[in-house]
Amino acid sequence: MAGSGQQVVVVGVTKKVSPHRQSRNPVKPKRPGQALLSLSAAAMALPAFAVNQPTETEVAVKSSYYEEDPIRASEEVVVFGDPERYTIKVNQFYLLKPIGANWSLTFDYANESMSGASPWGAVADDEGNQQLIMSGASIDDSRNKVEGTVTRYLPESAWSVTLGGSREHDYRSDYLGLAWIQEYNLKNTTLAIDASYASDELTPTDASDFGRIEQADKTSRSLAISISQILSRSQVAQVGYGVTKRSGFLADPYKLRDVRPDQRLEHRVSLGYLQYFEPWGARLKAEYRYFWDSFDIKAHTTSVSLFKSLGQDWDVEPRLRWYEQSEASFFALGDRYDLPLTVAQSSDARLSSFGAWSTGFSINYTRDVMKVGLSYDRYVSEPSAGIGSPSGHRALMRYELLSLGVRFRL
Amino acid sequence: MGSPCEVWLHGASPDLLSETGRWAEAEALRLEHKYSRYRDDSLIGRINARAGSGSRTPLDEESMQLFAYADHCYDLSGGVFDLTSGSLRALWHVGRETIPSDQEVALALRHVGWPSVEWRTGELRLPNRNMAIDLGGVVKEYAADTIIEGCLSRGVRSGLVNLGGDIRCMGEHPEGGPWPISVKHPFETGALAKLLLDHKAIASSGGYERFIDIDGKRFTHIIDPRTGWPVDGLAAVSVVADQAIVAGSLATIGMLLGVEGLDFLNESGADWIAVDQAGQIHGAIISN
Amino acid sequence: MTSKMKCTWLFVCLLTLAGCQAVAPWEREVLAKDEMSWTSDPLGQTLEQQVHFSKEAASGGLGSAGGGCGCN
Repeated sequence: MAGSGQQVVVVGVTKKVSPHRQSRNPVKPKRPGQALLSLSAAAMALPAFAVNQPTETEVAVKSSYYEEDPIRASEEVVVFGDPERYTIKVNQFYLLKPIGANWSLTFDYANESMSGASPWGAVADDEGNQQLIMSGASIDDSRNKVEGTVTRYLPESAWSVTLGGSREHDYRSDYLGLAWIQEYNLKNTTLAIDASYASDELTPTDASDFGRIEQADKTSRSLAISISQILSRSQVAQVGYGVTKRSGFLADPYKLRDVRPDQRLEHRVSLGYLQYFEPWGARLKAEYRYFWDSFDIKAHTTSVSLFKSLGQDWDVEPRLRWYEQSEASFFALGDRYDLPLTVAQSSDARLSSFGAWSTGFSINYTRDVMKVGLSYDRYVSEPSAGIGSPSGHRALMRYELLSLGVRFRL
Repeated sequence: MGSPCEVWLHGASPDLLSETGRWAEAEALRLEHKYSRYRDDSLIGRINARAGSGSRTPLDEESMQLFAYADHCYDLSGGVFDLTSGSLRALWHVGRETIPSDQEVALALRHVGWPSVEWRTGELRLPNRNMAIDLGGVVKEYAADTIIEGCLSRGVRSGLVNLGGDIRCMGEHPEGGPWPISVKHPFETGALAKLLLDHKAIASSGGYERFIDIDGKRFTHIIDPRTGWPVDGLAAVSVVADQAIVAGSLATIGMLLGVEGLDFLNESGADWIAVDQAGQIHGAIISN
Repeated sequence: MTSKMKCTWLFVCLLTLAGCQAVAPWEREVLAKDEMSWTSDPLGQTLEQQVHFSKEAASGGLGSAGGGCGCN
């Protein structure tokens, strides 16, 4: 090896360009750092790096506060009970842990505590106007839900098994889910199939005092299929179809008079679209769902959200949602006690025709491994904006939801 | 790999470490056997043997992705990063006594040209009998990445892989802190740069270790596939990046571009250091 | 079925007019962003689905699963 001080002579070479070859200048980077980014992204496709499995452990907690508006209206509307509606506090915990090179585990816990009044029933006066009978004293209830998922990752697919349970003092639900994901076209196309089964048991409180059913069972079986397709480097679209069959006691046991069929078949078709706008650091998400079921209910749901980065650490996401549904075939504005108990009827607001606007906003701050987010949503029902002629229900929902969450990726 | 290789793993469980170490060694050998151009039974050996015959060699997913990556490097470098340029080495072989004529160079360049290689269909065909593919540079660095990523997913979180001067490390040095690395100076004894690597890779490209002398003039062994002549300008380039394959490609492209390579490296976004033939140092590697 | 045929078939299902050029793995840096996934906030999504399930007749859709509650 030449020591210092010794000059190494190298021939000055004049570049002779062969006539067969076009000498191209190297790609001039449009932005500094492009070569590094470009090669790093390219390298990610290599099998050494291309593992589907998440590489980081994720832990998230979220606390939320939900409050419904009291029934707006004069005393003529609420003939009994408390016009104050529900307030709910929710605490959630989430953990995602990669295990070895091919597995991951997800754990999900939620605790809800709710209090407030809800409609027991309604009567319709001679002009067809509704008057509400609300539950009296505040209902205090809490719900705990635990769920775990195990996922196995394969080079171009993954499958997962989910087990979960939800417990309230008057309601128990246990469920099982299976999911399969398969990728095609250099992972540009993803097919997902989900199947689930839930077995629920109701044991309404004060059953004998109010003539409620003392115990009832309900099962739900669902199957969904969806296809997600990458359209370009910044666009993705998704289409899906799902079907659910519910059987058993489907009515609301706390209503004064609520009789529903013992089977319900639900269908839904969904479309989704994502687009990223690189110059603005912004992302548009649009989703649409059409729902129809054997209760004769049809519903359209449309939502749009815009995500925008603000500098390195902050981002905001305003969103908008429009929902409209038609009324169930057996919906009645006022309860009819003259009809036998074998005839389906319900004055439940959730089965009436209405529309609802929801507007919301999230703001997030990311620093190192931590991300903090605050979000607010306001949901307002429009009684006359449903599908078909308006039902005119007066216990339609308006609520506010505020959430604060923290997420760590380690 | 043709050069000294070592793998250092550090952790609490001796069983896990030795098992992982065995896997790492087996994996390095697997990649070497599969992609070596010196073996008749390797993928590259078979591809090169069939050059010009019209027959196609099927590529598996890993090979496909490596060629796709090399193709990307070809575009990014304006054509200097060319897997088929190895055949130019035969032109500028050790022991050659005269400088090649223009006709000899033009003839040699007819067997060079990555765009003419058919590979996108999943089967590779070299159209010309004297064409040959050499993945040697890329595979060595890829092996370093494969080993590190494999160790991480097996639960071994501290270690260093050094395959012939291409280094990638993870976690902490056994005595604590990042891994201390020194980069050899091409001409002088002692280090060109000393740095601490924290979960990163450093790769070096240098023509100073092999060269040929013709008529008292010294030529490097790195040939510019656009012109058919050895490059001048840089004696050594080292680049730091998160992946060894990225660091290696940037170092190779920088080296192949000669003096133009300094601008490319400067704008690449990576930390780099280079020494030109006059001994002047360019760039700087900042310890992270 | 060749890759191109599969792609065409899926197009019909997707009811989309966009072109179907496969995006190579090394052009995925935008698609890899959090905000470009269908569920970037699993807890938020679960909560929102729960609220809507208890207030509206329609349920389910893209990315949902889970059991029941006494709220509906």
